[in-house]
Amino acid sequence: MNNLNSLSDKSWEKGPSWLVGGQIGLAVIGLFLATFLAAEYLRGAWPPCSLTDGCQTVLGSKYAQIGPVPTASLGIIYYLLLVILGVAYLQGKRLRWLHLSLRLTVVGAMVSFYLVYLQLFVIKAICPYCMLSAALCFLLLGIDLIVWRRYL
Amino acid sequence: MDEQIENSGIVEENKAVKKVERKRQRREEKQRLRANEVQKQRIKRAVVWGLVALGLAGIIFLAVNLSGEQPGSTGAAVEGMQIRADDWIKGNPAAKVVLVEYADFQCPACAIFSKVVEKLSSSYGDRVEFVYRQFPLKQIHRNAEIAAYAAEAAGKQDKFWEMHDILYERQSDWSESDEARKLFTDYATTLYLDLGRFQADSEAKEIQEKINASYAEAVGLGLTSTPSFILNGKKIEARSYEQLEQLIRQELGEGT
Repeated sequence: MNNLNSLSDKSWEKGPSWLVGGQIGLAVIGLFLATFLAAEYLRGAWPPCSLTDGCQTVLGSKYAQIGPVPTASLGIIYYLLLVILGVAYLQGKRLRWLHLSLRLTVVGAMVSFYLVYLQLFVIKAICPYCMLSAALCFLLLGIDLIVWRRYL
Repeated sequence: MDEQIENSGIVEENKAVKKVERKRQRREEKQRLRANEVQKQRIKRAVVWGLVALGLAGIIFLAVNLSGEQPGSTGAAVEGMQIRADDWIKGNPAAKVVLVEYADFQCPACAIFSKVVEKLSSSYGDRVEFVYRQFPLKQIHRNAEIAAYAAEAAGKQDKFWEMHDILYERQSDWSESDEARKLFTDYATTLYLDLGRFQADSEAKEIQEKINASYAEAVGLGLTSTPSFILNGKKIEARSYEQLEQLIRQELGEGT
């Protein structure tokens, strides 16, 4: 019954749909990046250490791993959840999914902030893929904050 | 009269029954429609989720496939690759096939390739000469240079390869350590080196000059990364044991 009511309530159709679409799109890009990084890390056939590209230094540092899993796998789970929450919202227009997304993006942005800090000040090397993923996390937080301000 | 009244009473009753019946039918119809709607909605949802799952699986598959996918290849010839008396050599020094590696002890990829070259030298050591040259990427690896000094100092006591192995095995211990020198001395102890000599050699001008010359040579060859391999005077790209082995076999004339 609940479902039907919210389905027939068309006012939400014009709501944050396109913003949530943006969330899904960015999360899909992030999923690709995170999977690529995790696969590179696990493969061990890493790109060589380079004077011009810091990816190796970053992926070779001890921060590339959390316990037995690559740090990038956190990203995989994070982006997957954001895609699923986004699609779930578009299906039923239930605000609960947007609340969860917002909470997740706040955590994601904080983790990204820490990882960027590690690259800039601790490892002192920059991995473009990792930076791109961090940028996506900040954009996702931005989107969800707009959703929050306007609709929640 | 009585009969008529009775009749009309029956008619009235019939009408009422029909009305209730119609109402019931309408309600049932509505419910059926609604059930249909729910069913349709459910199917639509299942289809959307199925497509989403497929799409996500596709993206993961693509990303995994794109990683580490660069085939081994032979690049440009480099000028003036001579084997020198102070090069570190494994395998057969008289071999026609010579593989020169420029490497950095603090580079994780080099640590992996040290195992690759070790394995290759056990299979092809009779037909191939393996040369190790130092290319410490000091701009990005803070302890790379002193590690190179330590290996050379161990080499002065004929333990270069032993120190080479330890440095790669314990790479994560000393890479970012402020006490790397102390750790290197510990490694020297486990190799039963003369510690006084080891420490003096680790700071010797002669060794620093050798490393500087090797570094300058690598930069002069246009190398920007480690490990860099030069096979019989040609730069090669290889990212796995299989790729490197295949290129060596080609050079040996052993076909594919």
